Amino acid sequence: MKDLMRRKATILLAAGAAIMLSAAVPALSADQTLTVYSFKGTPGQEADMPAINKLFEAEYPDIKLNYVALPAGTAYESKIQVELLAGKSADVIMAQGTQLTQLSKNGYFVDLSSEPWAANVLEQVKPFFSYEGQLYAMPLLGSGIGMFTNMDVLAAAGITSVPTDWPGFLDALAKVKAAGYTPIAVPDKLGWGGAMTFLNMGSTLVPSTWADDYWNGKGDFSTWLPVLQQMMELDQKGLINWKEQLGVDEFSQGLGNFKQGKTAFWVQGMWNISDLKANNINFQFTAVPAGPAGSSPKVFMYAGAGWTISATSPNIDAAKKYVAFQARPDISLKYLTADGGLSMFKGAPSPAFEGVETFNASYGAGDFSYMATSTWFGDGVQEALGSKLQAMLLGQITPEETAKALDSIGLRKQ
Amino acid sequence: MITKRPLVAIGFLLPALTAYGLFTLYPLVRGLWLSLTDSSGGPRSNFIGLENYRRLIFDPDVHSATLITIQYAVIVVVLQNLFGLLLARALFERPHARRVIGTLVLLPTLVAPLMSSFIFSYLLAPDGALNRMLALIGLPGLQHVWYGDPTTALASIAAVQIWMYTGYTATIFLAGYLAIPRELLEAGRIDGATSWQQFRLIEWPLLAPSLTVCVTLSLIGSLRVFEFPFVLTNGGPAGSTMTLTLLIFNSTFHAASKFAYGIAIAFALLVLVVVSAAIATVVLRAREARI
Amino acid sequence: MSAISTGKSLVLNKVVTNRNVIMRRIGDVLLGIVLVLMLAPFAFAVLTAIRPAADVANDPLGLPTRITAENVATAFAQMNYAQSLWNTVLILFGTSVLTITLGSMASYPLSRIGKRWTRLTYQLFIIGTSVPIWVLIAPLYLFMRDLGLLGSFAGVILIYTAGLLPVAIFFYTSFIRQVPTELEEAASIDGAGSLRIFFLIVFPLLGPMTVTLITYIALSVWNDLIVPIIFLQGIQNGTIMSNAYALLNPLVVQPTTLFPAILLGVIPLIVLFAVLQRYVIAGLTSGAIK
Repeated sequence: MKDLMRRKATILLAAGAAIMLSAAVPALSADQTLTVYSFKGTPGQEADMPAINKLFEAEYPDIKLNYVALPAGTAYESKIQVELLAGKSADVIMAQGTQLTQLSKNGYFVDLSSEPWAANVLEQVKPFFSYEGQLYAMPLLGSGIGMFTNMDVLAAAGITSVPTDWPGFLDALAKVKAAGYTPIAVPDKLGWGGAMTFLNMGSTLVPSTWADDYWNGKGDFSTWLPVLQQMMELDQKGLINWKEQLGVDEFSQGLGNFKQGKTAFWVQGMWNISDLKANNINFQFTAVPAGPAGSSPKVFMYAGAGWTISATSPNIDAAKKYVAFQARPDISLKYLTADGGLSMFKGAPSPAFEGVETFNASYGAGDFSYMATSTWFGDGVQEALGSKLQAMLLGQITPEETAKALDSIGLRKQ
Repeated sequence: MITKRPLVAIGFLLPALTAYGLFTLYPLVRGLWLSLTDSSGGPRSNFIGLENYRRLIFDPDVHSATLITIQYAVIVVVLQNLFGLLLARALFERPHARRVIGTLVLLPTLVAPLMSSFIFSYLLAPDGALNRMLALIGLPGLQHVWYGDPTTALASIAAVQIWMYTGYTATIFLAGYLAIPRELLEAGRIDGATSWQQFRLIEWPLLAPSLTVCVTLSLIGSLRVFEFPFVLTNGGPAGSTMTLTLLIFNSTFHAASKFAYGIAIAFALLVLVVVSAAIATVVLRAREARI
Repeated sequence: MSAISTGKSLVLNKVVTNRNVIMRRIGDVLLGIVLVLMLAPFAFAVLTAIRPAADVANDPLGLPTRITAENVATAFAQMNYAQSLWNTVLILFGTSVLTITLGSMASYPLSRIGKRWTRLTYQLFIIGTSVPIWVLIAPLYLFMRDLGLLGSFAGVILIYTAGLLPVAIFFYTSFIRQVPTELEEAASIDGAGSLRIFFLIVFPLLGPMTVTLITYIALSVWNDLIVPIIFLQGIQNGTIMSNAYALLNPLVVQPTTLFPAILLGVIPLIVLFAVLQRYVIAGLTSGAIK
């Protein structure tokens, strides 16, 4: 009896050792571990990345992923900045906005211009991921910034469709107000909401050639005066109380307020889609209406995250495989669906979100403009512009004075 | 005795000096060097001498941020120490409640500043708890857009810092109270001194050492404030809460072209903190000596 | 004569006492209000943490009608709580031991020797109380890389120690100055060396200050975000704060994620302070009697 137990135990031990060994073997023979830094795929924002990484590892069994995710923001940005400076960073690094341009400029990244997927990148977004004509990042996420409409509130005010032009918008806002709801929320405590509304309306009202002209030294912000006046008109007509909006936080309060179903319109980004859906809000996501009667608004986009490869990486081939995998239309779609964004590749599918059909159609038809972070809206302009707009919304300066002040804020080519 | 053996004295100092020198002073000097260049945080930069410092002397943004930072520090230092002192006195007079309440008032100190900012962001929102409470107690006239109005935003940010550290300040003052010789207090009582006289003539002078510590700590803490305005207003509305730290942050992180300039502003702030802390310490220590 | 004056003072005492009683009741009420105001924001965070997400969405400020541990449990799992607690405690312990040892040792000659060079050294340390961390980050990172200390707790502990030494020296020097030198002189005459004198006689007297300093170190280390994020790698090596921060989606900050993270972040500190508080008050009192 005792012997039997001992034998059983021996067998179990041997089996256990074998399992441990067999588990250890592939790890030993795996020739590469690819370290990836990302601000997508944190516990707070999974964005389907864990699943996508599993797919990758299944397809490339000789590459092991070390995927490190941190929330977007200062901590992440300073981490990659100092690590690249020290020449000791991850192989694949997610970056965005002006920091991406700056890091490319410093020569930290591998030129990806001749990667097979590079030819399919939308011409309009290439500048955001390039420096001096070379492509340094795989464009991962185009984020729409626009207006959420609570269709139930609209219906309660007797309106059936989202307005598309300025007169229609004013009319809808007035009706909603008469029905006892809050017409529109544009939280602006951090200066972000006002700036986004301004840019969004500008993409419809300001000629598309303006940005390049301004960057090259022609023209000024007097072209934007109608946008500024319309923002103030909302307050003068009692449709929004800007002073109150300046006390509401864009990213921690706007969503909660909108979900309570007392507000008809709310200016924010596409990334809120999944949460609204999960809370069964009957919404539409469109551009902010701004143009004259009968016109339709242009949608406004932010060229967000991109994948880069560190120039000092010893695993550049494996890194390129990973980036190419992320660029694959089916994988990209999987990610974009989870994180709420649109593809920046020609002819690639974007997620067919319910309530975002109109927005998607405009985007697909090329009726969009991107936030000009690589030209006049680069380096610190967002903070300065948001602050100046707050001054106008508080009534400290007139729209005319604001337009003048913006001339010293927008960047020109040097 | 160590006083007679300088080599031994240096031996006592050496470990601390090494750690401090390597991990604070050395990077600080490298940072100082950086502020004399046009670095954008990358590997390449050119030496430009004192150009960044010349620029900040004439920069209206730096002027306004310095003023705002000083205003903020005044609000925090005065109120935090006033409330802390009152609280300490209340606790000193209530020995039975001291232990429990003394622990409870420390709770806000323990919450991370970043997290406290979020709590207040909810509480002081236009439809937040404070405004609802005001309506509930029949004072709807006092309702306010706390963080959205340039006249109240700075004070509403200060409220978070005061909330967090009043308990801590009170603990230090309480220690000062407990250090006052009992005979002195009783002598005052027997002489029929009023509560105010007792405070003014006996407690206040004897609390001098605690006051030095509390004022110095709150002064340094408030001049270096970052998380609160960063989360709560991002410098707004219309720049009314743009502190020096936020200006440094925006330069070094949101505008690569201003990276080295931001570091230069950081050194200007360092000078401001060191000078005001030194003044405070000298004045307060002299006062201690007088008393 | 004495009888008359006693009677007079009795009457006087009674008047004073009545007034005192009223004043004291008013004081009690005020203290109560202050206490409620101080605890209300904290209570709000706790109450929100234990409400179901749907309830918070419907009425963000409401009192809990239903209670759930789900938010807290999710945060607990995602933060890798036990591991990050252990990491934080290790870092805190290492930092405290080093800061207290080096700081108290350095303060001894700095407070006992009144020479020009000690004053200058003291001032050099005091500058360190006001250095903003982001000026140091990049140079520190390069230096840590050269030392091979990136990603190690040892590196993080050294950074914190260097950062906290100025405060330790600020606290200790002012305290040692108040400690009378007779004992040391006696020991010195008996032939004891300086190290013995310091560790056997002076250091034990610093107890109250040491406990206060530990609370200060605990607050600084526990609630710091930037050092662990830059100098440590991965959630398994993260501290409580860096892992709590990882739960937030900066574009969609959800109260039901945020508040449980706040709560889990602060609970161990509450325990630590509740334990230390006995010593703080006791220590401060004994320090006072000296």
